[in-house]
Amino acid sequence: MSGGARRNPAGIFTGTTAALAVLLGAIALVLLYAPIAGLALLSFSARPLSGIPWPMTLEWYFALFEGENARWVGPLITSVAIGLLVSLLATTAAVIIGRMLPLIRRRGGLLVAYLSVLVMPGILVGIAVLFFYRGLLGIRTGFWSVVLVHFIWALPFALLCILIVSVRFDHRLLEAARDLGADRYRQFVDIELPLLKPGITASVFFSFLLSFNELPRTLYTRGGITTLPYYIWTASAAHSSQVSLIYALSAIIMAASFVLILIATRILMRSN
Amino acid sequence: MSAEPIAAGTTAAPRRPRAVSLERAAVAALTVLWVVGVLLPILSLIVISVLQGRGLSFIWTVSFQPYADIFVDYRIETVLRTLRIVAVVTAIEFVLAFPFALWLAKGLREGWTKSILLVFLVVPFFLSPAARTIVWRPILGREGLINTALMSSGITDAPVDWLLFSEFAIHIGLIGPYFPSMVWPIFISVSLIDDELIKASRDLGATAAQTLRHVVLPLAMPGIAAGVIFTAIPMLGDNIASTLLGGGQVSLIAEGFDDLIRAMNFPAAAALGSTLLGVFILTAVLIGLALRRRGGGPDIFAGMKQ
Repeated sequence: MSGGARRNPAGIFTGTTAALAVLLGAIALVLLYAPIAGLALLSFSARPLSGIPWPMTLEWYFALFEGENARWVGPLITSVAIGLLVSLLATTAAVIIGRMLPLIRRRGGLLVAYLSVLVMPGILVGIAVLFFYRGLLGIRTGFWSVVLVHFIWALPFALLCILIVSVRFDHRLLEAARDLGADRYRQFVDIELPLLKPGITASVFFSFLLSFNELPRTLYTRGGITTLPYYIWTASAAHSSQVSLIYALSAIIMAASFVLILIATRILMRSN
Repeated sequence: MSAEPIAAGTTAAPRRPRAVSLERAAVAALTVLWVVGVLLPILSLIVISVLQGRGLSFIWTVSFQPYADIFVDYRIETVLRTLRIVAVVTAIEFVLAFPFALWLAKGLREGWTKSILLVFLVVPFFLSPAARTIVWRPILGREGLINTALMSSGITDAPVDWLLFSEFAIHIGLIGPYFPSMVWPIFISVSLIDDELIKASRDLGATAAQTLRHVVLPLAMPGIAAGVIFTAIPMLGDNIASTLLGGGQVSLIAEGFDDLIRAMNFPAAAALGSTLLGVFILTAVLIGLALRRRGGGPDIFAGMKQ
């Protein structure tokens, strides 16, 4: 074994090349996280549009709750309702499909069918749903169509969460339970469910978050309803005086999302 | 745990036919709903794109006018500009992501650092993309952070204009959000390569570069292909970076949709969508064929099992 094995298990990297790889990754991670950190900082800035975080103030956070400015509450309730519904639907569907998929011999086609939408541009899915249901079938868009496009967005992720645990599930356990006299329902509740639980929990959190923060698919299918990301989008694209408030609001949402993601990844990682 | 439990499950299936067939029926029913309710509407864009529109309803006469509408000068310019920006940003992502993914998979031991880095690469998928893009405005703007810093330090006298509402801003706005989409597939495919294979290559006297070229790269090919698809295709339809950072100066395909829908030219919007769909299907088929010629990539299940 060469001396390099100390630092890297497989021996592809030397000190210099490893440093270069880390540097390249760091550039991308800075571009990814600088705006997130910037948002958090600027939400406390007295003049957020200057890009300079000081002098610091809590003014915008208080202003969020005053009279006219509190218009985000309605969209928040809408988004939470849609998020919960999508999370329930996507997780249920993902459990039904995900626990059977490893048993199905010709599963390649099924996987492609369910996962291909993951790659499609969001705007394309939104327009397709609008044209097909509103245009060809003549059904008015609204709450249901937003739930549908969010479901389309969340299901592949939910399915992946379930598959991560279900592919490692040993089906001989179920046979053992059956031999010991457990009926199908008890087999599922007592054996399968506890083993799938980390995947299910992660799927519930992730599906909710995907729906809660979704914008491009919502743009064309929202009918008359306003979700929170849409509200933020129109307010921030409009160069209005609301923008300072939007920073504070977005910072709160982002912090809340961050906490939920950390909980979900922790649960999923602990199962591995 | 290899394929054994799965094999045990399938051979045992005939012994408990009713329960299993009910569950299979549920999967089949969901799949039919999915195909009819989701995939069919997406594919129907192709049909709609050759119809004539009257408001949001369509007249069943075939017309190729919608395609003519999207290939007029300024729209084709938008399409080409989008393709160019997406190609450049995807190439940048690859350069940034490949060494990093390789290092994550084979240069970094299991432990806290690795777990934290992986969490950092998961988190952005679930955050609001618009919220983290608007912040570039006060950073890059004429009176923003960078210009203030440049001018107060005396490097420039006048604010630098091309930082915001420019192609530069769009590139910057796209690189961050699409980085994880490139890293993940490469990371997974490289993680699947057996360390012994790499060690054997090194022990037989191959240099690190030769090992990379002849052992790692061929085995990582499916991941690289998936990374390119996962990055480039969704980026083609990105409306957030271009709307918030292009500021109307630089419009991409996504704004094309917006214009066409605002002008009530729905068949042309469908034609634009079909073009995107065509690019997507073509890329997927080409990459699928290329991978099959190389003997196929690893099963997605293999990746999850380790």
